[in-house]
Amino acid sequence: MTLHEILGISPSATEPEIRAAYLEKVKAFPPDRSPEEFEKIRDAYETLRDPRQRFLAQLLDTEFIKPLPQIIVPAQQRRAFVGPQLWLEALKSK
Amino acid sequence: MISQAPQGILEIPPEKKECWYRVSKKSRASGAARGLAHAGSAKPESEESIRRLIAEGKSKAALDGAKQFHKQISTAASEGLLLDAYCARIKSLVEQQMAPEAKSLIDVVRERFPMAQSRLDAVLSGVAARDGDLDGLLRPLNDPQLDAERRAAIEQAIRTQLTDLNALAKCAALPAEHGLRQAAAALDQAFQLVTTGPVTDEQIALAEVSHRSPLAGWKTLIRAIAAFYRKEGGMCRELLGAIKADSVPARLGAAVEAMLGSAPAVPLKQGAAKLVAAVSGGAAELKEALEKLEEALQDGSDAAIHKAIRNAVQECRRVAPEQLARLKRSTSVRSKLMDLDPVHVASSMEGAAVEDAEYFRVYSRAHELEGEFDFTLDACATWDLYRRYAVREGLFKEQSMEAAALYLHMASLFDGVPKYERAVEKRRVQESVPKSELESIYYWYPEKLYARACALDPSRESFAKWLSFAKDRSLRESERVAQAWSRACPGDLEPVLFLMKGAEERSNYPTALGLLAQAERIDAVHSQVRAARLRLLAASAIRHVQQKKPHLAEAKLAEMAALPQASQGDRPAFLAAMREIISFISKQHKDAGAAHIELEGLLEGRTAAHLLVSVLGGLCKRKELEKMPPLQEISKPERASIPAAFARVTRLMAGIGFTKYDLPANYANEVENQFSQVSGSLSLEDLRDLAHLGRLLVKHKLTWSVSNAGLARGGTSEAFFLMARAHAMPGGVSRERVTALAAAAVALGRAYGDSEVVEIALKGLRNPFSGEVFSLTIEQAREVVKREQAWPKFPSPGSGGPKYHDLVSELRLPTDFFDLDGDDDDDDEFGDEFDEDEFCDDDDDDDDDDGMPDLDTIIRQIKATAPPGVPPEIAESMAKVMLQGMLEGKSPEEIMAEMFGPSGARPKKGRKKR
Repeated sequence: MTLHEILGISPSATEPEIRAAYLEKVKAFPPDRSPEEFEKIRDAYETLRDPRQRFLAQLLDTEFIKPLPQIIVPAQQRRAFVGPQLWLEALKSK
Repeated sequence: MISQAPQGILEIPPEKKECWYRVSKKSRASGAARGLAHAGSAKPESEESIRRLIAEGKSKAALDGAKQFHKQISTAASEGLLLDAYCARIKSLVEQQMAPEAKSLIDVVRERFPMAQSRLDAVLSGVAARDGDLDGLLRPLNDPQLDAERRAAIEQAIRTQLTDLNALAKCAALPAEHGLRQAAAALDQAFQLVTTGPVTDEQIALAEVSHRSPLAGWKTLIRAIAAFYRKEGGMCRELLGAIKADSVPARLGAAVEAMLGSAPAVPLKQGAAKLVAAVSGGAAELKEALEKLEEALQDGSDAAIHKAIRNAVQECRRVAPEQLARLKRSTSVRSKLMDLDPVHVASSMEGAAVEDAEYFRVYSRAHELEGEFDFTLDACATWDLYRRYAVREGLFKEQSMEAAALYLHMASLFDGVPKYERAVEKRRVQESVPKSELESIYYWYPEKLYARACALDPSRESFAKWLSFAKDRSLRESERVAQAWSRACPGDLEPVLFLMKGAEERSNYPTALGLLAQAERIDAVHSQVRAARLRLLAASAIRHVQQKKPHLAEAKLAEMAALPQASQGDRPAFLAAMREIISFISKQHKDAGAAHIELEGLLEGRTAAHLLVSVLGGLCKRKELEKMPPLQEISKPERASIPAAFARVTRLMAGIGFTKYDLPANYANEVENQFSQVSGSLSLEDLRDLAHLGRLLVKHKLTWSVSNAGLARGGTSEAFFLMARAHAMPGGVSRERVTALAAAAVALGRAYGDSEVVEIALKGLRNPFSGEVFSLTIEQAREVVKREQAWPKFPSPGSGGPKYHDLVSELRLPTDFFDLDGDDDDDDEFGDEFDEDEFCDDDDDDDDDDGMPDLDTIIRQIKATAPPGVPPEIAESMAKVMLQGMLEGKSPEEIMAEMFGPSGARPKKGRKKR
């Protein structure tokens, strides 16, 4: 999991976005209830708040080495409403 | 939907009527005839085999067998079996779309077996439901006397066969207010809504459909579809799982799962696949195409890869055009790493990938992750392209912190590259690139990368990395880096201390003292800074004596005397001894005598005074002062004072910061002789210093004796003396004992807070493979002390000794443990060895900075020494072997001898000592 993924932000997130994401995550995983998760979040934030580290994290990101189906994902998960006919046809084919 | 059977369809063809008639007549044969038939027939079918045929779907054979079986034995059981076979046959005919035949057979069975009416009804319900004969199926529900079995059969048929809700909602066989019609109408409407657009919870509440209704599965399906469109994947899956597996709505499970992103266990049916494609806009097809491309890239043939690329690109363009650039980038980079023809790949992709900053970032990163040097060089070149494109695209500025970070990263790629490979590559580049263009390939020179990074981001972190790199190359280069660092960051202490150390090692004390003043301005309380002034002034005074400049030496001594730390401990004795030496070389013998008397008073004895003058005389290179009185001429008490004198003088010298000096050998031997007699009178501090001295002079017996005395004293120094004992153990005697000693030293050292002992002992106890550390408890450590105290004799093979089987389960240490921390100890306790030859290098050529001759020099030497006729390319190969061998620590003569035999070796003029 990348640092950006830990905070749930895009690699191009700005500093305010990083901070906002961090605060949101800390609320969801407070140190007293989720110490391990909190530590990960804190480490990710500490790295990404430093411009040098943030740049290096982007520079050295290895997302691209993942298998293609994991990195080529349509921007929007399409779920078109196609009416009942196709659904019923699928249902009739045993 | 509802198909009426054509007129006459239920009529049985004449020949079949005849057939059935005959069978019927035969079945009514008398019992006697039955018995005869049974007795005289061939072996009858068994019930088991007939049931097996039914189970296997061989209904015709099963029916024939059952008829035969019933004809022969004619029992209630055989009649039941025959009925089962009839039902199986009817179902089979229905499934084969042979409804008329099925109905005929039902009528026949109904006539012959009136008691089987309910079973036949259930079969009939299924047939009616399947054929859309809803009227036929549902009409019995109007009968208030309808038995439960028949009702259940009808409901089962609705649940497992009915696919048309609208038909059920309009079924004329039931009254309009019938619950089933009402439920079907509501479900039909909700199904329309949920597949046409977003729905509210109220719209799909479906209160008309109870959970016991045969249509309950539809209600759950509608809710699952709603959850799917709301992107509530978990809820959707949960609802799908709640639908009965044999019901009609369950048939959509695989399709919805596929749309949720799960790979289907079996290929989807045509209708389901069509639905998935329509709803997901082809995402599933894209995923499949990408999976095939991934597989092909992993282990496919070139043809398979290109085919998969074409397919994936087409799907991506159709389904997710916004991802096309990314797909092309990944495909292009990976195919380049696989050495696929880029033109062919671009053709398969219907156009090459866009070469932008991100493209070169991925390309560079992929190369460096390969880990090989060739790839590292490629990566550096492409990182430079990334930098240019990134600047052009406005990702960062050319003169920026980001560019500096990039340069540092590029430089770090050379960290793991062997010097040999770097040297060869450097030469290749220098040969192929004109000198005027060398700067354009700056990225293949880590020193240039570091320089660029530090120019853009003159931070401590950047310079520290550069200095660390330069230290590995040469002292001169590292000093240049430290100077640049100090200029850029005047508040940083590290470069000043580094330069001061270098100047001190060159005996350039004025420079060292100047740098010390600079360091004192930065951080006067730093431990290294505080310790340096006394040491540098003393060394400076000694240097002046060496140069026969007593007045300058006196001045330094005066400066030294003015320091508060100069009056601590025995340090006044050092000043007195130096004054004696200065007076002596100034021929002020009276002053020298006075100074010596003062010295004897300060050190409380003649032996220690003589020893200190001898040591300092040696450092001042005054041989006449190095001489000690002959041992045979000194008194017995003076001999007995030798161990204490050695302890005191070595302690004084270490306290000032001197770690390298000569001691008179005959007196050092006498320490060993005298120790056993005087050990009781020595202080614990003396014992520690003597243990240290024994190790320094490789006098293991002395160290051992000292450890005996130290352990006898007990107290907090036990850890130290156990460690000294471990060091003194001769190799090959007992690994078990060494392990026990070191582990006990760690346990006691921890208990007494002696971190130095713990650190040294731990090095030997750590398993190099697992990283685990062997340890003893404090009680076990005390047991080790007890056993050692009982065995004071210096160990030798076969001499016996305490056993530690019960404490030491595994043997962890090498037999010569005292070598384990060899070099480190020099750093920590005796100072670094200084190779003056490094400073005798007047050659300004950077290529020589690592102390190695360059390839050209080696090739010239090989040509001069190789047998006649060796071609130039062979000479170059030999040069590489030579360089590699030298990097492995072999001498050039050894390598030449390996290549050409002993006669090939030639003495080299002017080669630097390594």
